[in-house]
Amino acid sequence: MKVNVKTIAKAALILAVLTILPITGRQVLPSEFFRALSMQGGFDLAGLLDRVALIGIAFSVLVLLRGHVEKASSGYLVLSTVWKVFWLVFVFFVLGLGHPETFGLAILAGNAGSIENIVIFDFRLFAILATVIAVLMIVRSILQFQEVKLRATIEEAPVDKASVKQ
Amino acid sequence: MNRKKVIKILKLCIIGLALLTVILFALSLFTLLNGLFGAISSGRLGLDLDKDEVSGDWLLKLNANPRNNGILVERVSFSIGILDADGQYIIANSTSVSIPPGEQRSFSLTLTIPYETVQKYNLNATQGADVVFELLFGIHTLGDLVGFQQTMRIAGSASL
Repeated sequence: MKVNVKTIAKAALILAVLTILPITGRQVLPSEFFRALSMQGGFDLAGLLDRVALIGIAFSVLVLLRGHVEKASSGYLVLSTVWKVFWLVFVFFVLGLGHPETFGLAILAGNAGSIENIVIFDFRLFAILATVIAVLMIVRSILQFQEVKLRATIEEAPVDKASVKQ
Repeated sequence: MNRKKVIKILKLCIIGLALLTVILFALSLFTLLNGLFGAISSGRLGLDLDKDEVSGDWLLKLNANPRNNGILVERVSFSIGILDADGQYIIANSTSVSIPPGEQRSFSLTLTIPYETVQKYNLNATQGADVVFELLFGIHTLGDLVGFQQTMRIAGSASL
């Protein structure tokens, strides 16, 4: 298999930013900080960093797989589509502060004695825009795949004729 | 249409939409954060409780003087309410004001709690009333498509 340096560099960068950085941050930050944030803000930062690290691994694997598959193969199209859907879920994950199921609503809730505090960030507009972008990217990938396949068929055709003559 | 052309147009649309998303996100976040600081900074928000000497009603008055330091029009909303033990509103009132960038607006919101309600829920007592006082504050921009909302609930707050 041909080693794709660009793909490996891309995967390594994603791993460094999304996996190594959150894990390091989790170890460097004091545990009291996580506890205070969880109790007062209802925000599980430690859990969020763990999930980001896992997402980083999945992203890197996807990039590596995609980089080593022929562009004209249907496998590339499938991986490319999965990558785009995964990217969209990641955007929802970021906008929802670790909760992609809220589709862009970040909800933080905390209690301090008899006081309950709920903070909601409404970023659903950006979730909609990201969905439109992902759909357009998938459509473009399908069209590109058809184009690459068509070109490959045209390029293969004279070779076949030549082999028939022999 | 030529497939190659369609691919090119789609690429341009994707880049354009991505840029628009990033710009709108930055602008709205800037407006929301500035709006938040402009609304809660000292002297711009006050809550007073008065009693009507004649009727005995309680008048909970919220005075606000928020300033929009952002670059987009923002809508600031306030709501005050009192909920019973089942989470049902006994009484509530809300208001909102639209503020253009760089401007300041003054407004007040009054919650009138009838004397019968004050007596029914024992609101005269300094402690232990089985009610929840709710204060809601929100800032929205980009035609209410992006926003921030904070809800504060204080249980047993009879001594408002």
